[in-house]
Amino acid sequence: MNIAAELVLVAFRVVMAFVQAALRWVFKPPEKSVAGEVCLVTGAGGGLGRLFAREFAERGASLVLWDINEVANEATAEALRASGARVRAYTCDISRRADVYCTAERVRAEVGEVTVLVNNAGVVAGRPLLDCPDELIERSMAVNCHAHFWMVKAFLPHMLENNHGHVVTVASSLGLFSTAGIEDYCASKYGAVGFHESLSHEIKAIGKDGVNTTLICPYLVNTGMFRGCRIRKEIETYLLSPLEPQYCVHEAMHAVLTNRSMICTPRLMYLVVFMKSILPWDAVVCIYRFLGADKCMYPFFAEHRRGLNNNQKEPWTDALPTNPCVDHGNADLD
Amino acid sequence: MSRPRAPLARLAACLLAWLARTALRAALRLVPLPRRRSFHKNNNNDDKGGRGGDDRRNGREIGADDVVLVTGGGRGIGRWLALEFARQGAGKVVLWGRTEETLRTTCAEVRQAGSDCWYFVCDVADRHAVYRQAQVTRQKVGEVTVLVNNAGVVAGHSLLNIDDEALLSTEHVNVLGHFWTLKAFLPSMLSCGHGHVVCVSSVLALTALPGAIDYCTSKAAAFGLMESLSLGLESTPGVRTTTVLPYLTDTDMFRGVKPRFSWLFPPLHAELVARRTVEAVKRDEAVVFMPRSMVLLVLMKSVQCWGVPLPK
Repeated sequence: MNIAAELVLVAFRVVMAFVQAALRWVFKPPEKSVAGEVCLVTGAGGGLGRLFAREFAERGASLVLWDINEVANEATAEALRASGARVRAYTCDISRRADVYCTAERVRAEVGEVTVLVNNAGVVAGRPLLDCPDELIERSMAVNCHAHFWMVKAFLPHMLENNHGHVVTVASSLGLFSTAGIEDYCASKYGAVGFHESLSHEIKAIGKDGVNTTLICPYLVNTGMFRGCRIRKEIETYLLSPLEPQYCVHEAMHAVLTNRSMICTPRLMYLVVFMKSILPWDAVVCIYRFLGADKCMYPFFAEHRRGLNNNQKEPWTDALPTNPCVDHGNADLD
Repeated sequence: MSRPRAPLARLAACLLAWLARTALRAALRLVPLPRRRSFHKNNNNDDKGGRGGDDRRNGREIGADDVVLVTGGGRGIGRWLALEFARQGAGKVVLWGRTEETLRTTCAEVRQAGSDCWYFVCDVADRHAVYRQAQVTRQKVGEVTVLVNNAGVVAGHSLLNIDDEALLSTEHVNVLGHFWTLKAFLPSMLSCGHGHVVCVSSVLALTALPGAIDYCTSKAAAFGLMESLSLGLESTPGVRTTTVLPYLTDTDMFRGVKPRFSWLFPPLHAELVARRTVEAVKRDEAVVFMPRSMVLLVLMKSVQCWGVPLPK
């Protein structure tokens, strides 16, 4: 087809995409059913993961819960089983790809093929770059970004084979714009967003329209992960207060169940992303300063340090779970 | 030409004329663009590094007291960056890379271009090597004033066909390497109160493509790192950052890639990318798209977040 004709066609399709989006906004599309699907949620031990698991369970999905924290994970599993859901919990460190592949094999053998994958697990170092131990930087990147590679490599092939599945990436609004002092988290979330977009393009390129992807970019959620983070008081009170986890998950579920490719919560984030892409850097900095967004993490760092000074354990010194797939040999004989 | 009578029409005419003039100047670069204004009032104008508040407004010159370190400086864009910095008058250029042969050749070329040059074999993915070679660089050459994080690799397969080790290698070189070099060299820049960090990212950081998922992810992460760093450095006016996002460049890395409409968007010449980067360093530009029209692509894509799934 010659370029002029194709240009006209592309312009038409772009306009139609806008029209479709507007129609979707006015006439909300029906939510698809996930009854009978096998839904895997990483980071199910706390915060958003637990809420995601509950939402899927309420809609009749079977749940597979992964978390590094066995106690919290089991607590989520128990709560869901009490409400009658089919739940299996696995303790897994998703930053280790051997763990991921091994646990994925166990899930396939014991539960079945996963059809909805929710990459929700996330960590933050809580320190600016020059104060941050290298291990924490590596951990942030490994959990928030690299783990997505291993999870998708483990579960996507089957989804593509059956042309049926859904990959949900829970990134953050800090994957679309950043703030000072949180280089590890921003890098990892930008990476997660870039990964998700690239993955979506790859899936579209091979024509598997039964496999959907959804990117979730919530603003600051009140789960305690960023306790202390504060923007300008007036903006925070009237315009952009930290989100309730329930609201965030509700919006995200709606996006997932209507096969929406991306959602930012709250909607004001769309404007921020758009403005950031057209404004010159100096203007962006100026607006950030006005909103108090450039230094919003500094109270969070202070609280984090206070917490550690009260003998709170360093997060990366937690004992990692023993890998059930690795033969530890006869340690008892020592 | 008759002057418009109504005041509003006159105002509109003046505005249009001003816009046209600015656009023309920007396009032709006949007259220097307005200098970068600092929004930060530096209350303690300390002259520790010999550069006072003025340099914030005027950009910076590359001079004989500059020590420029280019990672991946042996070939590709890195080689051209080293040569361009030398041509612009950098006193010392340090090359880091993995292949000694290419480093040696480039080093000789940089010396011919007029700067002192050293090379050290260092894989930026290995943080112990980075810290070790940073120490060696400091002892043998001096404190680095311009850090150019250019080293990059790509595996170039779709996700399900990619080797996991290659994937991790891309991530470690393209992202984690930046963390280690920053940790090695940023403290001295901050204590001196002057320095510049350059990150060679890619337009693929913001507009992903199929077939290079490792590269897109890593370049996006590097961009996120630089944005966060830049915001943090706004309170240290002497230490600046520049992130360049070039389109497809004619180096070995993406040889053989043939984008559609390459007559409309031909691959960039690496030398041009390097020249534009050094210019951006001198002008204190924070984010540079090459070519500038790529901003439109990013803008279009930002609309996608409204739930508009743009056609492939």
